[in-house]
Amino acid sequence: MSVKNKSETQSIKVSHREIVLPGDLVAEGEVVFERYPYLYKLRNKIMSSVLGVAEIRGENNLKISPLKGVYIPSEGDLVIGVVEEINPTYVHLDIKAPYKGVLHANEILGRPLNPSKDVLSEYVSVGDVFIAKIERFDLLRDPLLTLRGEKGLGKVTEGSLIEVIPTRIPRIIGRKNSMIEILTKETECDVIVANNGRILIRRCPSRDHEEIFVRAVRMIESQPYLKGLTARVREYIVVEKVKRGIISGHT
Amino acid sequence: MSMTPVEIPIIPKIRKNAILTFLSRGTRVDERSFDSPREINIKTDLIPNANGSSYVELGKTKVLAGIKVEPGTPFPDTPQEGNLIVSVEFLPHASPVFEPGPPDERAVELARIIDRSLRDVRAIDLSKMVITPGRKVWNIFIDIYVVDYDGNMIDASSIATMLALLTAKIPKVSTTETGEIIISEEKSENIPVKKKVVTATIAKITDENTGNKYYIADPSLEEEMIADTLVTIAFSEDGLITGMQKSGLSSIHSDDIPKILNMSRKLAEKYLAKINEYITLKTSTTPSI
Amino acid sequence: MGILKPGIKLFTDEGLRIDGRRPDQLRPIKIEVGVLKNADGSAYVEYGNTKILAAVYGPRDPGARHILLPNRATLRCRYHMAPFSTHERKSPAPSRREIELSKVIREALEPAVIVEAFPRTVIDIFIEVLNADGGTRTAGVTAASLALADAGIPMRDLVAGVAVGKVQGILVLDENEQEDMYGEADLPVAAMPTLREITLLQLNGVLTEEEFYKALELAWQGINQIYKLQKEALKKRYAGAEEEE
Repeated sequence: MSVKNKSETQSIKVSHREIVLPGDLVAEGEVVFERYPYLYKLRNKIMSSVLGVAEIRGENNLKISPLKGVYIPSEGDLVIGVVEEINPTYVHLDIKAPYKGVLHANEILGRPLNPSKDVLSEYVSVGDVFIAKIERFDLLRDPLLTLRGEKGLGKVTEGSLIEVIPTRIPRIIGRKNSMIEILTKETECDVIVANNGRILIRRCPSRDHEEIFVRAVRMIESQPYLKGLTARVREYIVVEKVKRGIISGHT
Repeated sequence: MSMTPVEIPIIPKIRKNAILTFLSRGTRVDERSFDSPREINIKTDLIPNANGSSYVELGKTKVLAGIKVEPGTPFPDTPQEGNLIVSVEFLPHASPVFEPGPPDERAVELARIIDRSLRDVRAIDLSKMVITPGRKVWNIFIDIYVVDYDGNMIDASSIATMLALLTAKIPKVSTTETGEIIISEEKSENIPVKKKVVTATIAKITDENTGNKYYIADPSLEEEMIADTLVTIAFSEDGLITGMQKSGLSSIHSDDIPKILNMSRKLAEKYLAKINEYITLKTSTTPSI
Repeated sequence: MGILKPGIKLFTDEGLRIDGRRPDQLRPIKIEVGVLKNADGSAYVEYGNTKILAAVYGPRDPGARHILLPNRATLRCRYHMAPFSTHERKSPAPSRREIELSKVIREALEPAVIVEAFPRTVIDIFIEVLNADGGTRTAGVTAASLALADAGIPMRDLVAGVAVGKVQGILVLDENEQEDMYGEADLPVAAMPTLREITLLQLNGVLTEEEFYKALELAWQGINQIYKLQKEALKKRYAGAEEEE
């Protein structure tokens, strides 16, 4: 366990990237912390509530990245959902969360619904996949989805879908997109990484390219905090490409 | 499968605040002190077809206990002892949230708390409840009916059980010169109660705004509704602890255990005094509900 | 708690227990986390020959709206003994004991789970006793709390449990079935050790006040040891995760 990045101040009690468990004291006193419920306050102490990795950002700023757990919707998140139920004016999407995504008819139709004319099931069926954005969510109401306001949102008609542990998504994207840029550049796949732990892979040059992408993602998923992960992923992809004869071994 | 109760009647916030305000002043909405039980009213011998019966009001909580004693076979591991079988039924009469049907988990838990409080301390001398050793013994069925639920059914049930046991009459068993066993028609014998036992329940109420914790004896329903934990401790009249059960959605700080133990002991002493007073004063008049 | 049968000796002349332990000694404890693929969280726990498999699903949408609460998650808990887990086959139908223990265990975990984080959801906890040799409820709580942590469900603290028995006048930690059967008292305790909050407390049998306090102290000793093992097992499962990039 490293103590290299241990905060100079006395208030943070864990090192950067240290594993924490429920009930672990992580800080004391005036510390900025985010993402309830992963941290909670006990008088002047700040305790971890999950199995996670501590991330110290600056002197008195702390965050816990949970190692496991369900996806909790958050406004502005990109999600990939699967249609589960069709109602007269909206559809329910499974977004891998404890709450169903709600997508209103006007989002799907791109215009207001005409209840006397429009039959929603003519436009959408169970099992359809949508890329959507979470417009509103407050734990009291199911997350409201939108297909507007951004390019690439809407019904998915091609590609393959894989699922990863949702809390790994930030690692798969990497700091300032560093990881996902390597993944897409090296495999030449067109990829959409959604916050809810689903990844859509499209237009890979070959079946081998797609397989290499998936394996690289699994590698990040199983060892998210491996030392020099970015370099290792790059190396892994190159080795795999050589093995499969995509590139020659002399590059 | 056990599930977080979802059909909890909602207590108005202002009522909850009123209860908390009283507690912060060291008293309770019904003017009791923290360690006082509600008024206890007792009647016994109400059910002619039962061997023993009692009706106990603990405040507005009403419990009817009936005892039937019938010949049965002993369990293989206790051939020289009678059997004790405790069941609890929440009558649908007792609360809008009670429904007819198989006993819910709280009724099962309650029956097992009462059973355990009596069994190991040998409150009843089951070795005296034998008709033919190894073959025929008395089954003591204790059936507890919660008739009206206004909190703390455990203590009300425990008091009712003890009173029904103390006032029950069972047939006399005698052996003729030829070795024949005769069970008389007349119910003239007592159930051999060796020790009186009662449970005593303490509720913990936490004021979320101030973080203050209050421990109160014999909670009423509305106190129970805002309480986060109950601790029930059973005591025998000679001061032994004969059972314990924490229930409810919260926890108890280790440092608070002595306080709870002392409070519950004093509460048990009050219940026992009430039981003793009733038994001593018991007249020959036949009361009715 | 049975009556002591004459001739049954539960201690050696040196004061050791039938399985060779000192009175204040736990049985060998084995903990594994993340043993099942499909469950969101799982754990396997052994206290000697008591063997428990726990699984957690959730927080999830149960489909049935009427069991949801607007301000918190609903916990559902099943404690169940496998038919082959006991000396004589146990009927798979839930007994009154299992009904009570499902409730008692749920209430031992409720204080730990930060249920307010997931309104209108259900968290399911399944505890299966695969082999029973005393202490199944407390080992069950220990396993279930690990399965909850493995599922990534926020908790104030882990919950660890152990029972203390009074056997032939002597207080013993973590009784096995024989000691429980012939002992005078059984005090199962579970707690959130860092917070020093007791979440499960039962007593079956008879103790004096003095014995009770001693037994509780002994239970705390056991709980603190088990808590350490729980943390090690969880960390082992995710070893490597803390390495730096």
